[in-house]
Amino acid sequence: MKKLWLLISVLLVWFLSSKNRIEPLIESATKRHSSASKLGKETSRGKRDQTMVSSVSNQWGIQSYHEIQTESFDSPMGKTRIYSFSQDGVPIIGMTIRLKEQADGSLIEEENTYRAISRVPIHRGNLEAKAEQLKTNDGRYDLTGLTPDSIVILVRDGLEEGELAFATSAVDKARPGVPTQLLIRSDDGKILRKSFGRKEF
Amino acid sequence: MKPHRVHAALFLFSLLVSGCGMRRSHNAGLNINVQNLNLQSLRDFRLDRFYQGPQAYLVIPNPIDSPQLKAFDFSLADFQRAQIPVGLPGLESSSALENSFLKVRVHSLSDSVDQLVKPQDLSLATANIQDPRYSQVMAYHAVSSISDYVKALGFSVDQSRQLYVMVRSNTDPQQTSTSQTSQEINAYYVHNTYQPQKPRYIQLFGDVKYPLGADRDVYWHEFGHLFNESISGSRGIDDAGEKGATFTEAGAIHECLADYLSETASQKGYIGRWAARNLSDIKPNYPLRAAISLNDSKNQFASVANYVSSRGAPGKYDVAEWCTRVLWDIRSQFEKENQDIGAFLSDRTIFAAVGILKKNASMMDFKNALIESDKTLNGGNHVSFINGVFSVRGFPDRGNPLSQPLRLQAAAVGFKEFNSQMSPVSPNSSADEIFFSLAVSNPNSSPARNVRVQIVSSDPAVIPYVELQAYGDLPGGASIRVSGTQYKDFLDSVSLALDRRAAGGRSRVQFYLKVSSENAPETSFPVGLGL
Repeated sequence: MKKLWLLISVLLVWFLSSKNRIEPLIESATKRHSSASKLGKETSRGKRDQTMVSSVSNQWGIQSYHEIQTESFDSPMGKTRIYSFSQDGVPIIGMTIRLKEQADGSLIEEENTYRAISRVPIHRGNLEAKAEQLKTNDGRYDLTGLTPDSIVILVRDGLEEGELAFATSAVDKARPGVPTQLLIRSDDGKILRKSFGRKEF
Repeated sequence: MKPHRVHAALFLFSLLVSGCGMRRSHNAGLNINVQNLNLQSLRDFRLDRFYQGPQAYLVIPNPIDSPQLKAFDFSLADFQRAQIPVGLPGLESSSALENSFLKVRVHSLSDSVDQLVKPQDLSLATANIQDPRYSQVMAYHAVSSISDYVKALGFSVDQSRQLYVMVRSNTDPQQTSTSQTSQEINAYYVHNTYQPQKPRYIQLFGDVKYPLGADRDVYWHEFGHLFNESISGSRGIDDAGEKGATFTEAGAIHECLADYLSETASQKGYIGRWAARNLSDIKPNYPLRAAISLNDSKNQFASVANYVSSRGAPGKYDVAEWCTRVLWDIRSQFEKENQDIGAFLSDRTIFAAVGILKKNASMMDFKNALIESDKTLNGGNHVSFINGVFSVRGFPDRGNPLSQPLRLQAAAVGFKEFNSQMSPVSPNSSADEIFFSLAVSNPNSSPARNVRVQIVSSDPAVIPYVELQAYGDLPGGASIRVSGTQYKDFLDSVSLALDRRAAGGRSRVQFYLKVSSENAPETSFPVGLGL
């Protein structure tokens, strides 16, 4: 009976104190060691990224002509992985897969706008001629900054195919003090998107 | 004492000790997890200890806020005495201040080498505050130090594209010729969201007596915009602003967070006191904006967030400044709880919240994200404080539920360019851009919160340009009006173009204008336009 009291006391102290351990406010030597050995883990992380890209490719039926670019962002709330796409090195705008990595390593799909659109024909020679023509047009926008290599594929709602567009800065004669950025359809010069992405002081 | 009483006493004592332990743990913030914080780096940063890399001598953060100088105008000797050593880590070139991510320039991406500071010429470059070379050194120090700060908090920075900082920028930094904007006194961050081959830019304008390039606040604010996009994975928390909306709550949140980053990192609670000396409408010694409460109209939400018929939508920077005061109250509470690392924990909580904001986020979304972030990182210890501080600052959450939907009247107006002038034309596919004359009225007696008008269409023949505009809080019985005869009269409207080629032979297109708010039933207004 006496031993039982003693045992209960010891076990209770151990149980309660171990469950409520106070997190040290100063980094422990173990943690410093783990961050110092981070570089050594890069190779295995690289392999893990490759595996994830191939897993994404299989799971979402990514077409063989769509190249996948991966970015990941760390936050104390978890890691975000973003997969964007290109074709023949030309970035595709409007198709993204965004995954949130949970603390246990599982992934949650946050956004998926990937579509298995058909391959967009890209004729560099035609693009150069078209770029020159657009630059010399005396229209609303001054397009002297337009270059034939600054092209993107834009994917829009309701269209089964991507559209090839020049991405360029421009001066809008209607608002000359406000730098404008345009996506201009390469074959007819139609403006598909305007942006004014300046964040001011 | 009898032996069984000894054991009983021991048992009771163990209960007491364990109980005390639990209470003590709770008060000490047991649920706050400091993993991923690099406390040594953060403490060094707070003390302006920047030891890595070649040393330069700068007056930081700027002459008026430097403890060693505290002046706008000074002698060369005083200026030199106030310069303190700062290391420039990670330099990778002998011909400019740059590395694989950060590139410091003067006017454009392709400045000639003789305009650029070489790492071996740092002392010459920092002799005169007016010299663009001084600004180059400040730019490199400012961006690399703030980048290290947010990394020490546990965040990564989007380095998928290079960041060019132009300390006396051309309008288009890809053009080498110096442009007409030398009269402009301002600074910008350009994310180039829809130009994926381009780098990111920080552009500073103005050859002025008190150069913006000599103020660390300016770079820290502009870097804050890049940081917002990094944390949110370029989700587009202010996508509408990027596409031309003149006001959105998300745009105010973006500015608020950029200010807050600069204010908390510099531990000042205000921003732009040096830069504001160039502006005649701000009294000398006053900052551009402040997170600490001043005797002005930015302390209460109602005084910054309403649509006012004589002025229009709220000012983005007014709402942003109010928002920084909320964040500063939160930071002060964290600091009160823990003088040593409270501010770091506050920063981590606030910026982690940005990571869960959705596209075109509202202030209500931001408040909820702060609460969620606190629950995840701090066990929810500050949830009631966060709720309380928003309430004390007059934030009405979603407001009173409104029974009647907002009313919308809209008429399409086309514009086309002729001889560099925008002229009204029929709103069809021949127009360069189609806007709407809008009248939105609130038939209820209480305010409608965060009123927005949005183009809703999945028809590829409709190309939204300015897809969404927000107008702030609309008082009961009041109306929003956008109308006029000239192109500039419609910049507060949504806009689009029509694409005949994507119409598949149709002669007309149909879509909707949606009016939404936080507390009124949605209204959809059908629009039909001929191609």
